[in-house]
Amino acid sequence: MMECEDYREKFVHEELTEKEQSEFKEHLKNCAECRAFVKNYNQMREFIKLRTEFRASNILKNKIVSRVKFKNATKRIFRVALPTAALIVLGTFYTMSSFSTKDVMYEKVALSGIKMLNSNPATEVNSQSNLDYLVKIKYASDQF
Amino acid sequence: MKKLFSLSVLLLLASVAFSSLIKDIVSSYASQVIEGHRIVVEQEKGSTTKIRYENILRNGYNEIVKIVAPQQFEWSSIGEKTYIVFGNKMRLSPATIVDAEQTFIKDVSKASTIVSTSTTYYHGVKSLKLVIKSRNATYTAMILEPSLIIGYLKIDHKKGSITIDYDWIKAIPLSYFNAVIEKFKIIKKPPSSMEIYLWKLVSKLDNVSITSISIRDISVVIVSGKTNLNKIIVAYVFQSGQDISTSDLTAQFKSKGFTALSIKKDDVEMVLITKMKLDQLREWINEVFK
Repeated sequence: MMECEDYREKFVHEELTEKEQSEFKEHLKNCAECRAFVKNYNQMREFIKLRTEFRASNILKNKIVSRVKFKNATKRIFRVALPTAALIVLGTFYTMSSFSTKDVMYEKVALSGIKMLNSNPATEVNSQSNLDYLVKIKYASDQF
Repeated sequence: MKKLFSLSVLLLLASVAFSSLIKDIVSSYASQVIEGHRIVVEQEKGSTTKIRYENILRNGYNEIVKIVAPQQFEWSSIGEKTYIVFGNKMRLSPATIVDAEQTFIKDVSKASTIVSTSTTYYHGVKSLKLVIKSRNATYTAMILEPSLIIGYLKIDHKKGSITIDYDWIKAIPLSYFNAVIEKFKIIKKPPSSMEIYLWKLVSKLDNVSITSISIRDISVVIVSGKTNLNKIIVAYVFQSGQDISTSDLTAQFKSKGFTALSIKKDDVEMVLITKMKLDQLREWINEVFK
């Protein structure tokens, strides 16, 4: 009869003869440590087999690729597109507001003149400008 | 025949005497140094009467005129140039300011006829009352004796009349006049193109007013008044190179049914609006800026 260590070594290297295999099976029934070893070894082997022999299906592949692409795209959005979009939005807002304030400005400027056009001009010196001396020249100068 | 000859001699003597009197008044005016206060009343047919109260400091044809009412304004005429007084500075004016009194002296010294002379008292001072006719006007003057200072002058011209009435006037030493002039800094820099074009507009409009507005660092001067055809014109005047588009401004008025036209003179941009027809506006602009 072999010792536990011998059985385990031959088992791992698949060197157990048929007779030894039957003996090892009988030994496992009574040896809890060897059962635990065999169980762990088989689990590890399954895992290794999975790592080395697993081929993902096309569906899974596509899923993974699209997930990766999505992640990259999201990253890109946060890194580039989002700031760009923000800039565009801000730019558009600024331009629009600039246009609108310009329009308001022209309208304001125009309204002052239209008011004057619709009213009867003053009959005496009536100016609100630092250039009002031009009007005063006219009134100071004797015309004939 | 003898009577006719005598009459002719008398007329000739009178004519010589009158001409000598005018010469005396003109030469005396050129050498007078006076200070006074006068009321000037301008009446134009179909227009409102304008009254000014002025303080005068004059040395010959050089004078400083301070209008104290209705609107304070000071100007001077020195060496045949008109200056606007700003505090202690005198700046060249974009236009010549005419003093009717000086026009009278220049006019009568050329070709004029004395219609009548008489002796009278003006404000208690013995004076000569003269009625003089020239091609442009009829002058009625009270010349104080013996100084030959003008105390009163009425000018009747085609469009109306101007009356100049000194309520006090006195001769002063030349040194006083010179001391006043020396206090001023005379700036001989020519007026800006903006002033020149604004003046062209102002001078051609009645009941004219000037308003300056400033929006977003843009300065616009608005001139409004009536044309000689009694039509209101409003002109936007601004320095070119500012962030303001004449076409955008013109569009604002056109969209509201007004006639609008933009023009550029040197570095000055103008947008003119009116209710007149475009052709009439064009004609008026040509007249103003010819």
